[in-house]
Amino acid sequence: MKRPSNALLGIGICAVVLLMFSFAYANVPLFKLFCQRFGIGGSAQAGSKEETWEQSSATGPMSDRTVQVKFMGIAASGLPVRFGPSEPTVEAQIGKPVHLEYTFTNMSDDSVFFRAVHSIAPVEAAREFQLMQCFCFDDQALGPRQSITLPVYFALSPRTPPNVNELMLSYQLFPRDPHRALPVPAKEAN
Amino acid sequence: MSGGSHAPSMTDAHAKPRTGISKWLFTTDHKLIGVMYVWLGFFFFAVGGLFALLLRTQLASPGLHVLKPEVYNQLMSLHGTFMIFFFTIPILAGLGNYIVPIQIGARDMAFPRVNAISFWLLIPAGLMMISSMFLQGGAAAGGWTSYPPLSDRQYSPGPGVDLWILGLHLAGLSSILGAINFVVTVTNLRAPGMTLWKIPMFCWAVFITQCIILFATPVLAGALTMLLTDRMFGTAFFLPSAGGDPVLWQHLFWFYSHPAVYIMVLPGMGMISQVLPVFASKRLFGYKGLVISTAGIGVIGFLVWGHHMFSTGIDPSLRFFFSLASMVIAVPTGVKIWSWIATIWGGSIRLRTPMLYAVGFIALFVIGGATGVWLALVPFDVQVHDTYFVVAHLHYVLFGGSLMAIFAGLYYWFPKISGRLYNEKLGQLHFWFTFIGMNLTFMPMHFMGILGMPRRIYTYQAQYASWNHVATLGSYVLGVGMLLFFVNMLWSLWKGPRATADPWEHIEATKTLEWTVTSPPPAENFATLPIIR
Repeated sequence: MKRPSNALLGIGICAVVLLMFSFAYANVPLFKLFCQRFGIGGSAQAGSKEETWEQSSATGPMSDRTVQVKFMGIAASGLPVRFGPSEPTVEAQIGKPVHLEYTFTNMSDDSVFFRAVHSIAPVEAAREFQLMQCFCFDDQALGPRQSITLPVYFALSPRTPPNVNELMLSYQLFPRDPHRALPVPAKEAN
Repeated sequence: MSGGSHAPSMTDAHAKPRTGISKWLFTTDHKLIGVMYVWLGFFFFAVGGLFALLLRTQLASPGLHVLKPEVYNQLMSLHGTFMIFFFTIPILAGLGNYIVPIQIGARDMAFPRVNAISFWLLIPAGLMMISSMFLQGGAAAGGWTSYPPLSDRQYSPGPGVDLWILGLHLAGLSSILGAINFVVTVTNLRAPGMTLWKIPMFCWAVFITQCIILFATPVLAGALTMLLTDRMFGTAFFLPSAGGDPVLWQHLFWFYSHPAVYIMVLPGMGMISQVLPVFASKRLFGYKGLVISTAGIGVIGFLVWGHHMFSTGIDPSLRFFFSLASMVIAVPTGVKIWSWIATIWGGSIRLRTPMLYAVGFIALFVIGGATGVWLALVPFDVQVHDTYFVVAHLHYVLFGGSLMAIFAGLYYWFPKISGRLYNEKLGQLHFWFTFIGMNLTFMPMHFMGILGMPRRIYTYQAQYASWNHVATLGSYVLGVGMLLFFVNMLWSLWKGPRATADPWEHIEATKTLEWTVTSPPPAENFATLPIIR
């Protein structure tokens, strides 16, 4: 068998190297798609506000089955925001939209800027958790000692696994600097 | 195996050979570059080993204050980084650099200048790592895995992580350039008559390892670039608060770092496959099976990265897949172990230092492999995740596997490379200190882990004290053993008796081409290129 020249083989191998380097970047959208498709890592199939009611209709018919949904929240270290849901738990009927409210209070004398990130457990039920409206899609700002109340709408799809009787929706608040794209330590942001 | 004439030597075409320091600085000779890799590797081995001794001293008893917590974290992170990226991978590249061209009957690597660049890139890479310790905030302290958000600017604001990333980038580039060189060399520069099934086992192992590097290392380079731009240029690949995902880093990191385990172990397995037949005076058993199993490990090694992430909440079906694939790796590994046992079975065994290390490798690697199969089981893995059990497992694989094999290869080829014989008694003493010290250090870590002692913590509760006393004692035994090694090597380089072309008196079936030329081999290796029959 005739061997390729050193240069040709070397260039071919360089192409493999570049391909694998690109593969790392290709994983950014691929990973997101994969997680959305399979609800992996606690990410629900949440969409933008425009899609909200389309997704609601996708939840299908209501059933008598109920699942207990618990709510948890934690603010990042140093972020002076106290927050919590209007009810600590709800018995959510499959297919029926649930409405509740979260109240946020700035405990400091300065303005605070933050964003909430949600996750859902157990993971096998996360893909069936239809989050229709949520403050976690937007950056939030609170003046000194200010309180605000924000709504959350969600519904559980009929495909919610039968062995799941309990779900946990948890939020983590991250500080934001309104002038910068990145999250920053609380003492810098606020 | 060799003989006849093929092509004239190229030596005559060269200008007057350089001498002194410029001989090393400007060389493109694969042998000199190989030797420099080995020296550099042992420098970082000494530094990383010293760090390990400091860590073990801090952990000798609960509540000690030998190191500050933040210094402990930095030394722990650099210990892993140095041992993996600046000792094991470079020293294997060095031994490969020296031995592979000779074993395949070539005069040098395919791209000698690229070969020199590969080596010299490691110097600034290493300097970046070391210098980061002296800057504000110190070196990277998030472990050798540097998971975000721990490695994000928010939690690691100093320049340590930036230098760690840039240092790894250079080391990775060095590794990739070396891999291109090895693959082209083994593909194109084999002596006439050296068909695929005549390539020596060590060359096969190096070739397959370099193929793994070509597919895995660029992915780490991509992930490192993302982490760097997250830290410096406002991107958010791994920042959850801006739509990124830190778990993506773990996927990319382990997509490289699990195959990296095989990058560090497969060349060692190749050395063991060379050493065992020589000191059992028998032909290697199951040569083709060994080649195919090496390739099999290389391929399957790309499908198991998720077993490092069982506790990140990945889908149960993925856990099942990664668990199964991880257990499947035991099959080609088992083929190798049986081939090695069959090789020495009934042989005329000479228990010289390389053979002691080769047999020690089998014993320790089997323990590391077996605990690897346990860890492939999700319920067990979740139970011992981030405990000392994992530290014990990885050291049985990388110390008991890679390092024992490196010592086997180094003692085996020392007479060829240096042209001198080492002191056999000191070599054997080094082995026993290493073997006993290694087990004293790392065996108790299995028990600590099962009892629940977390890893990467600078102190611990009193209930783990007794096993930690033993582990620290073991690390000192290891330290003494390594001193014996360095004394032996340096003294032998200076005063050791001259070695003949074949000091091990190979039988014809085990005699590879490097043992047909003088010790050390002449410039450009062969007066006339060999023809393999």
